[in-house]
Amino acid sequence: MAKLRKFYDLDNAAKIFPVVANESRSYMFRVSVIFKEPIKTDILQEALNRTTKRFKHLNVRIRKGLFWYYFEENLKTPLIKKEDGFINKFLIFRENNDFLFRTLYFKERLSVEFFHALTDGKGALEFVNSLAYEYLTLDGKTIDPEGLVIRADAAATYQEVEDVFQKLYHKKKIPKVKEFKAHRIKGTFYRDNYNAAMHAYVALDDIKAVAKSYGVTINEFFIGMIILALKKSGKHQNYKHLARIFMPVNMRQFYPSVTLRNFASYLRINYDLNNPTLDLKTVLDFVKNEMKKELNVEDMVNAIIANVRYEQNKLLRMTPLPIKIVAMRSVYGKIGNKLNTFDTSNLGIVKLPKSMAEHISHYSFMTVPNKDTPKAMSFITFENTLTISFISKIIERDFEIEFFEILKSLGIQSQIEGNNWEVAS
Amino acid sequence: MMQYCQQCHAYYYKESSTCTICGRPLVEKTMNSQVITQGFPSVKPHKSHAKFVSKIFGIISMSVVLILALINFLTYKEYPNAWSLIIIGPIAYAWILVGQIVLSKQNYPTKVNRQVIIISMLLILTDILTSYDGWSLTYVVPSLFVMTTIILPIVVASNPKTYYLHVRSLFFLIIMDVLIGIVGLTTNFMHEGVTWTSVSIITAGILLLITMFTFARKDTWTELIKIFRI
Repeated sequence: MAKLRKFYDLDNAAKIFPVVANESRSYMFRVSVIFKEPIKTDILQEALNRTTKRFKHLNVRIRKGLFWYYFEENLKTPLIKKEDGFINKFLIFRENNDFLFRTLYFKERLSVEFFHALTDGKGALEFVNSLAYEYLTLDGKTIDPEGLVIRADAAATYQEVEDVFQKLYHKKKIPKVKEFKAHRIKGTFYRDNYNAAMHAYVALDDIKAVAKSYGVTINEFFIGMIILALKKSGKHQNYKHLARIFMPVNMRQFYPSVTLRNFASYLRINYDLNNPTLDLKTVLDFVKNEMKKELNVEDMVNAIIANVRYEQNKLLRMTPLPIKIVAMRSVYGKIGNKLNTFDTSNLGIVKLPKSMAEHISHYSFMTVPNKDTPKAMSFITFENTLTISFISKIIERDFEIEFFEILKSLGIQSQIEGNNWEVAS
Repeated sequence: MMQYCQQCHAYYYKESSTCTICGRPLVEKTMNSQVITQGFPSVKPHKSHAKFVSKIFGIISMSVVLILALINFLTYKEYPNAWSLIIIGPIAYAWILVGQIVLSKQNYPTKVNRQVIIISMLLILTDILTSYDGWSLTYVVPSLFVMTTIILPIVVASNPKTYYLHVRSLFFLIIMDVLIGIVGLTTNFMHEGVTWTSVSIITAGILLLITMFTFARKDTWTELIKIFRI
């Protein structure tokens, strides 16, 4: 097999992140696997070294060219660190041996926080699963991978590092979509860009049963819950803008690809919070209808093509990077995250080999909010444990109170784990 | 036995006393959980001593600069020259040195290039402020660049594995060599008739480029592709 190239262009989705990321908008996300035994750091370091070398698209550092950023192979060793209480904090690459992901441990929990320019949730999950597999194997556990995890000694392929966005690109005319500002959740921000986090562990069977009783999918159910909790927590205020719930969509389900780089589009469910209804069924019916319209593959591909088209513009390509950076920051500063009220993301069900699953308690997945969209919620499921993760930049938790009030009314019990919400206020 | 919030219908491990969601006290209740929770480590407030120290030195430096500039201005009729710059210059240079070189986390060739450029600019400034004679651009600046063009590649070559990291710095040095040489040959900023310094600096730059392509053609070419890729 031909040797894989040792440098890559950033994919289309990734190009914006190094330009606009900062302390308050870190564009990091965390995937955690929780073992049943405390982590042994020396074994973890060895497992991390092996796994990182295998995942070519993660074993990189980012550099500036004259016209674009690019990734090149990182010859340094990835670091492991003990958690410091901050979640998805802005990553200063130089302090992390130039890697764009950080590996953390705390008791039984192994967490990897990724800079979004590297990969999306699915790509990250593959890495975390492989790392967990290597760790357990080095720790003496006998595991048959059953083709469900990528082993560190398996050969890397071109398809894994492929930029699929470029493959979808065409020059045909696409309809322009006019975007509008979203209602913004207001509140008191924590200092030091602290992100308060809380996991709620619920039984997948319970959620499935409730969602089924309303005739909706799990994603539709949670989006409906978010809308209703927003409505209830907003009390009787008048809303100038629509509530816009943002959700990334994994495009691998429509275009079979094994790429481990970014390959996601998105959808937004828009809801007028001035609507007086407080009935979950009504909201869920609305979400179900909207989802049918929004989950249109052609529209989602068009959204990707529209972005790739900017990148293909000859004048833009020949503009030196420093000028591009100023222009992108200025445009992003004006629009950026103002189009979303609330971010949510579902990483789906984690499938592991049986002999590996017995060593793992559960998974968690956390995205990161920002000053325009100060609250986010994400989900991941392992066996019968669905982890709902709330993350917030603001101290107020009216939204969470209402969310659990609705869960309680549906008879769903949860187990809670959170960081210190008051500590950095 | 676990802790339970009646308001939120939520369970917690033993160490919790209040509900994270609603803030109400918890009560004990039996529940069999398969989920192992670890909690999160406490966050320590962020305090930067380095910032505080730099603020103190910043105020001291600014005070000295302002006082000297004011005295210079008030006594300009009696002593009509900008003598205060002799002290303000080193203070400014000290700040640049600390910020751009000492504290900078750039790799050493970048630091060396920065240092050579800063020193060259200061020398040219000194030349200008002391009735411009052209000594800086004719002799000193080209000598500095020629020396850097000879020494820096030797240091880089001492660790060939990391050569690719420094190609851009070496390439930048070559561009600077050629530019300074061209300025010398095409303008009258230098001593009249002295062209050997300009020719030397251009030659040094070209020789460095030839050396890079002779000993590490593939790496050099790949790096240039990376940098100039449109």
